[in-house]
Amino acid sequence: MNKVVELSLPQNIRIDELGNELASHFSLEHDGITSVSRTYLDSFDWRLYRKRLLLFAETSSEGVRLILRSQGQPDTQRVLNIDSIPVFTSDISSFVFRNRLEPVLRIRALIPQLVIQSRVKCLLAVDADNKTLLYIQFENPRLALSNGQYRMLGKRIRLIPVKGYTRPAEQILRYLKKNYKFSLIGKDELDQGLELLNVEPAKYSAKLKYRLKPDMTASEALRTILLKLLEAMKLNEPGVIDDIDTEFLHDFRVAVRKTRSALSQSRHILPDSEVEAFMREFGWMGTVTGPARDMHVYLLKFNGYQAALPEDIRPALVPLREFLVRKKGKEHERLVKGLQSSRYKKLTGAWRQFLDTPQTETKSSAISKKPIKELADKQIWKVYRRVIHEGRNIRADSPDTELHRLRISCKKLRYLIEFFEDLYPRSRIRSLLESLKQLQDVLGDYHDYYIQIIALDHIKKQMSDAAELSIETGEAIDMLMDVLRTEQQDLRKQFKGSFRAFALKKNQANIESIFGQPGKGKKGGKGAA
Amino acid sequence: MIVYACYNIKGGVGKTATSVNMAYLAAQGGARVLIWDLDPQGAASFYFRIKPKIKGKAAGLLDNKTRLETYIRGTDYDNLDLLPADFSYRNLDLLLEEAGKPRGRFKKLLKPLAQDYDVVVLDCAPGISLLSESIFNAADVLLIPTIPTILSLRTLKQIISYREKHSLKHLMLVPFFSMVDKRKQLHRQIVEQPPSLGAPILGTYIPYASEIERMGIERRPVNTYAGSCIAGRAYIRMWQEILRLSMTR
Ligand SMILES: Nc1ncnc2c1ncn2[C@@H]1O[C@H](COP(=O)(O)OP(=O)(O)OP(=O)(O)O)[C@@H](O)[C@H]1O
Ligand SMILES: [Mg+2]
Repeated sequence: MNKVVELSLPQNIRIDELGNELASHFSLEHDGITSVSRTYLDSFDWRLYRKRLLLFAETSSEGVRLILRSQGQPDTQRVLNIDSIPVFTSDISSFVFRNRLEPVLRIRALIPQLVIQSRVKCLLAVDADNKTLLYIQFENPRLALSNGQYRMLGKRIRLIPVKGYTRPAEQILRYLKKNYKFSLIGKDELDQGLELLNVEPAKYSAKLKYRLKPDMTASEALRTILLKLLEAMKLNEPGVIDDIDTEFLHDFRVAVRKTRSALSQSRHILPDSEVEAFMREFGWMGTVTGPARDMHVYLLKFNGYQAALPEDIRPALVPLREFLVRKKGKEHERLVKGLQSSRYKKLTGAWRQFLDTPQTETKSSAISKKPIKELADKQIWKVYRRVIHEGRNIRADSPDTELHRLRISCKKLRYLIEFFEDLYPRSRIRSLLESLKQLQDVLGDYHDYYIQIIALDHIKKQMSDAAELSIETGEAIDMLMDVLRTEQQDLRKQFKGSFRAFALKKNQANIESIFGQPGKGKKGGKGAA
Repeated sequence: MIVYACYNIKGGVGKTATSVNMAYLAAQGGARVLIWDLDPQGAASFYFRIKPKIKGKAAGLLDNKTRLETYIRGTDYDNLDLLPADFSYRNLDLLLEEAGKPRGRFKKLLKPLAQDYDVVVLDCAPGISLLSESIFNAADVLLIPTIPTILSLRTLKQIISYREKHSLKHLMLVPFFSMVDKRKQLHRQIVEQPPSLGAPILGTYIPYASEIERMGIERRPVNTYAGSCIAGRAYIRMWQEILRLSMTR
């Protein structure tokens, strides 16, 4: 037996008594009792859990240990002594830990997902050389709830054999089996805790999850989507306000943008007069959240900015960073004010009520009662053709405004496909989505450069007005803008290739066969595609 | 996985002390570490209180039947395991020859460990042989503890030119001064102005210290009982320097 074994003990067993019994029977050493708390860490969207990784910080009077292992595999873990619980991967000093966590977590913060408190009684089996062969831990752990109360996980004994020394554990296990009734736990503590809490991990994802059926009415389907988007805003709102990491605001803004995009295409499906008012208010949401997001973006890119400059110039860029950090602080305050304003509360309240009230349908036209599949086909096909048309007309010397327009159309198409992806066989839209994403990446990056260059110029003026711009920093920013301009021009050259890949004849034919046959599938469209 | 071999043709220069303390520090840094005690004398195994014995002896290691993993023992420290020595390792040279393809053998043996370990430290026996050649092929970094004396420097030169001659380009040589006794004028002279040898010597050196000698009594890595003594701090600094160097490999 080379593996950790965890057994749940009947509640009536006294841990101290069982400990003493085993200690005297097997001449084990007492290794004291330690109060520990184990904080299970993961990102808001459970990235580690999804990758079957388990990370927790174990805090005791002896300090904090960070433990990383694969789910269900307590035998090979990595342990690191740390000073305080990390928030970002970059807070962790260990290269090995960072290497494992960074590709999964990226820019997401670690948040405490679950806290277990316990007093661990430990016994050791040692040999004649005083080498440890087996650790035995007794625990009666409890799960700390956010309201200050607790839930018990149940008494347990854990046998942790040191690799290569199987005998002591086998002997003790045999003894326990003979004399006591117990059951194997065989499940990670995190999963036990989540089960108690009835929490489904990995439930939140930036991707919307809902079920659309082809014969849902247009208005029904649209409400389903919009409600999900509202939910996404609400889920991210606390993280935006607490500024836990930049993804909260990012996902929040995507939900706002998607809401606006859906509203703009819902003419005659939802009551027009109300749609217009909501459009205006969600437009306002965009402007409330925009400046803070811009600062996030520049700060995320800052290391890249520095790396793009010659080494001796890099320090001159540091004041820019400091300026951005301060500006971010101010923009964040403004954003929080916006999210706590009565205008925002009124908007989300009215919006929810609107989405929850199906009778408004009667006010609008017959379109709203059409099956969603039919409308989705039509709309996607329409926007797709627009993208093809706009893209074809772009020449090497076309003005940026045309690329900009194409970018917007692509985004619209992307949102549409994502809204309605339930209605189509995944295998058939995958390649469309992939080539669309590639095209969007080029157009998006191109636009990003454009925005960044303007913004840097603007920020430089602001720094100068605030008498915070040294000559060196000004020159470094100028140099950076030049670099960005060059990169932008290089990207422009890539456009043609990625558009050609997107607009290949055989892809077009494929798209047409999926979306391009309005009239067919009118009766619910069940057999379509 | 990165493989460090602690090696010198000379005996008694601090190879085992270095292997044990470096392996411990690497493990403290959050890496999963395996130290392989390749010396039939079994000093590294002794320091970790692990019996210098493996089932099936050295022949079993090379028989292609048993996975290396089955011989591994956990130490008393987080993230740190040991592959024990066995007295039969004294025949490893012969056995390697018999098993065929001796030079690539160690690399092949170590390969499956890459899943479980981030760092492997090989504590080599002194001397130069077919076994050392096989180790040079398996290792990424060769740590060479060198006592600052004229004869030791000569040996170091031999190792450096050996690497050249056998075109072991992949192998990074990291010599450093060990058991430095600053009371000795020659030690002082050599450490302060090391002659150029064709491989840069580490900035950190390990002083001669009674705390390190005490490892034999304590049977523990020095940083577990005297982490803040001069020698303990030197090991910490040296490990950081080695880590930096080997990352830029
Ligand atoms: N820096 C040091 N200061 C004092 N004593 C040391 C130091 N380093 C090693 N020693 C002692 O010197 C002896 C030889 O050291 P060690 O076993 O590490 O060398 P080695 O190169 O591995 O020897 P071998 O060739 O026999 O394997 C040991 O008794 C050890 O305790
Ligand atoms: Mg030795």
